[in-house]
Amino acid sequence: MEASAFMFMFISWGFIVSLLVFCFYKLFNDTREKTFIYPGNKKKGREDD
Amino acid sequence: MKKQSRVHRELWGTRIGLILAMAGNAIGLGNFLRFPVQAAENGGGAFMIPYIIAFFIIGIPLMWVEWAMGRYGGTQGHGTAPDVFSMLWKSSAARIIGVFGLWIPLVVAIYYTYIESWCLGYAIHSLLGSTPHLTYSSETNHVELLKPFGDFLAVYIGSETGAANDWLGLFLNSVLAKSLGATAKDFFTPSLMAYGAFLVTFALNVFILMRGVSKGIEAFAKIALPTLFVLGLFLLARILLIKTPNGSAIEGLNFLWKPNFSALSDSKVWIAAAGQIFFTLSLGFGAIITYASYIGKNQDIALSGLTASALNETAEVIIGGSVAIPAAVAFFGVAGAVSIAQSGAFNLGFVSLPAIFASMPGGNFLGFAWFFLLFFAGLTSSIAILQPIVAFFQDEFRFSRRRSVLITSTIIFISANVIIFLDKALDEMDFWAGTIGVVLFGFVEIVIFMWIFGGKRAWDEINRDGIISLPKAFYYIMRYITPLYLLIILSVWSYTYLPTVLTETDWTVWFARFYLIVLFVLLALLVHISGKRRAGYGG
Repeated sequence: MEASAFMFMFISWGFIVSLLVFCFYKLFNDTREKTFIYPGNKKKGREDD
Repeated sequence: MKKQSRVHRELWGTRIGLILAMAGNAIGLGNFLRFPVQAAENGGGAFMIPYIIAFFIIGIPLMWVEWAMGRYGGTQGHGTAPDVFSMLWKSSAARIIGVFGLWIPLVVAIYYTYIESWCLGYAIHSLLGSTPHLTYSSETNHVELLKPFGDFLAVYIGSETGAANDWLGLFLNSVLAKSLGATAKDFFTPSLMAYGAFLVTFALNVFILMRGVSKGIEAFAKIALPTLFVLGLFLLARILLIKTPNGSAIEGLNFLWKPNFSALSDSKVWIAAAGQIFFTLSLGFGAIITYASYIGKNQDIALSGLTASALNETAEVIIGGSVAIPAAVAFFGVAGAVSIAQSGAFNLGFVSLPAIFASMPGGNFLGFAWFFLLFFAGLTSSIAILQPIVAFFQDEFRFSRRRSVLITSTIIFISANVIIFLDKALDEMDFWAGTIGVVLFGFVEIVIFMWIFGGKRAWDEINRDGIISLPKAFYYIMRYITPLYLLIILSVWSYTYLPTVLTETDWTVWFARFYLIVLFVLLALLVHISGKRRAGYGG
């Protein structure tokens, strides 16, 4: 694999993986909600059928 | 009428469920078929420069706008464009323009569900080993090698109607058909597997939607997305080990990623990259607005939206870019892969890849994995584009979920048979709704939100209760650059494609156009009636 191709692939993959890691890091460290579960939503579902 | 008093709408059960469902909406067939073809044709590695720029100045801004519009609409019990637009813009024009936000997903769902069913049909064919067998030889021309697979696809969808069957013969002898000048070539006669797979796919969509947002869409996304990524990574690992006398998958990666900087001076490359970003994030389909309307009013959209987009990019660039084209280069060499890429994404997915898998050890299972991955990608997207219609009946007519799904599925089922049996109807619908329509609608959305609703209010709404604060630069991008870029794409595509499309005068094309107009009028009428009904009971 040529160096220029490898560099473009590495930067592109690196950018996307970094973005993904950043997002999940922020989500997991969100102090307003303890987990990924929204509190209280289960009671609000429409049960019209 | 007692149900009219109910105002509670469903909400997503978990944040990860919302993110996976939104990512599932975005991750579709295009991630694995369209992206690698676009990259290969538009400068290879250098394509990623306009692609990432378009991600930041079109994709992410419009995605946030749609999430914010949806969450805003959901606070007052609305999840579809006509009523969300009328909340943002106090004008009678808002509801009329908003009809496009129902028409686009309806039309796209009509043909997308059928294409998605091909993946299921091919997955079953692969597992049963009933696809053509390939005796691979590095000396044989790739066109000759692929011919049986092209013929197989033609028989599968019934595009070769040389011998008209009974029902077709009866129709062609009818007065109506004779007056239209219809011939056997105007009709498809799909195989039993094709129609059977369509029925199963359609039933699965209906089943998931019947179960509702949290128990249906969200629960399915929690299974489908991890499965999709596992299958994708498995295929990626297997493909990268391919080595034949013609080349290797690593050479394929080299071909795909080697930058051709001269391509950057070609405006078509920038338009292609922006178009790919638009399609891959499923912008302008109305689905994001509806999904976002089920978010609680004080819950984050800024980070959740970014996470769903990042998941989509992972599927597209890392998995999508490492399967189809590298495999094609390994088997057919760079020249063969270029020729295959130029023949289009469908050819790559449904002709070349089956041929490649058929010549590999364990090819039946690999073919199954590939098409099952595509099927799951398609299914998570089709339920997303069907949900706006379901939500419209639920929110604006106060119909039960079951009734809303039944009405929606009846319309889709009848309409899908038009594109299954009528030649050129699918292409016509894809052009008006799935190509020009979505970009036009995306432009309208951002103008209504960032200009008519008001830039500052819109910016505050996007950032409200966000886990992250968006950089202020995005305010200016959303207000000025994104609409301008969308307008450029719309102008260029209209200038490029409209002259060719409008010269199509076959009766099948005119029938498809007439059908599209009928659907629009029907939806406009329903929007009008729902408005009158709500005014009637003071809603």
